[in-house]
Amino acid sequence: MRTRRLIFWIVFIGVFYFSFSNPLFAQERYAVVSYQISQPRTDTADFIDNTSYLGWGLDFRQMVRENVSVGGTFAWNIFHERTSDPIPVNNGGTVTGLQDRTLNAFPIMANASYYFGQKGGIRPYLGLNLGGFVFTQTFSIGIWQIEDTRWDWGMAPEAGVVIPLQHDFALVVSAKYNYAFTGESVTGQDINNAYVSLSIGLAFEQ
Amino acid sequence: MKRILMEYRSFSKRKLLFLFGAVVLCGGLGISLISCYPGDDISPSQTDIVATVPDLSTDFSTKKTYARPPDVCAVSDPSQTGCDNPSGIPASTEQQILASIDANMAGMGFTPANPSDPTDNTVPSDVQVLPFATKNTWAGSTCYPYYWGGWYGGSGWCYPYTYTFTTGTLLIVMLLPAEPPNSSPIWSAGINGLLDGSSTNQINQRVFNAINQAFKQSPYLGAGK
Repeated sequence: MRTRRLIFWIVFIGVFYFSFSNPLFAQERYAVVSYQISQPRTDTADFIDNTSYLGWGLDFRQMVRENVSVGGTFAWNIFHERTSDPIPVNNGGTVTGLQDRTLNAFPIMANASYYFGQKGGIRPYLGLNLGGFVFTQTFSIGIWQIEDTRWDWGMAPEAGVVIPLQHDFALVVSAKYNYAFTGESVTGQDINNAYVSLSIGLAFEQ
Repeated sequence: MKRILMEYRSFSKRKLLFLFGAVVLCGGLGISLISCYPGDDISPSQTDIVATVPDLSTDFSTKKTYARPPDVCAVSDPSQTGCDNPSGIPASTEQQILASIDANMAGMGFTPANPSDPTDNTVPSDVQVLPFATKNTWAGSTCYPYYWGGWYGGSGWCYPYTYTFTTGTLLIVMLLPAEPPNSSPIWSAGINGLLDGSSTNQINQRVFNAINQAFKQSPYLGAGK
């Protein structure tokens, strides 16, 4: 519940800040709402190996130079796997049952990006996101469930392209590698969650 | 001044349009994520868990004969050393448990110490197999999800409701008769699942499947036989 409130206020403040600032003296800025498909990697793939088709992102960028922007990024990616694979336990034991494994990832980061090309044209860019993730991991087997929510610091290098459309709108396609520096599995083992996101979004450029 | 005011008014319309679009898009994506969220839609049979633990220091290839009690035992006392009381489970379920144990033991290469009667404990056997069954009813309370308001009995932020459910547990232990009564088993199988929502026939089928799974994930029991 606390996580949902935090997410709500981040989105609320971001949208209204970029909407109600002074239009005459503000630098160029844009916001992007995107749909994301994500593929787990490394330790995340050990827990859930399915592609996530449930994801969305919200980015805010302000141009501080003609080819440099700073801003923030937020997203929600849901990973899920249902499996009945046996689980080996210590000393030759085995546990079998229908398992539901879910990972909710909420990256919350600051962003800096460098744009190539000319303003008004197609602009490829490279960016770096620094901040962290709220991860909620849930492991359910039978009627039993273990859930863990934690904050982990991390980063997400990014590459994409901004394609201008009509009337201050633009299409933004990007790929991002999300990586957490710290982390812990539901069973208490040290892990590093990582996943690749491909996003396609609509930007409003001010 | 007039031009600046006109530009401001035009820009505000664009901002409002963006704000409206952003809210609709964000809300739509959020609602679609919530509605598509992988749920907890499982049937009672999908709650069954089978866990097995062997004593790997045991040489199962030398264990060829077994005996078992005529009934499924009750879990009556932590210090119980035998099958003291009837379990109280339906007779058909009890028969299913015993028949499944006999079939799987045969599949692992074991034979009853008394070929005509596996319950005969007067004939020495290499191992004893004891099945125990118990039923537990759980009660609790929680909140309806996504309920943001209301006040009920002091909970403040949620609308609570109470629930009960009953689970069944089957424990099969394999012991060495020559060892003292409180010795650790050389093999244990624990089976647990939700009983609510299943008929006796359905529970019998689940017991059959679960006991088969317990032996299937314990291939070492048949080693060398």
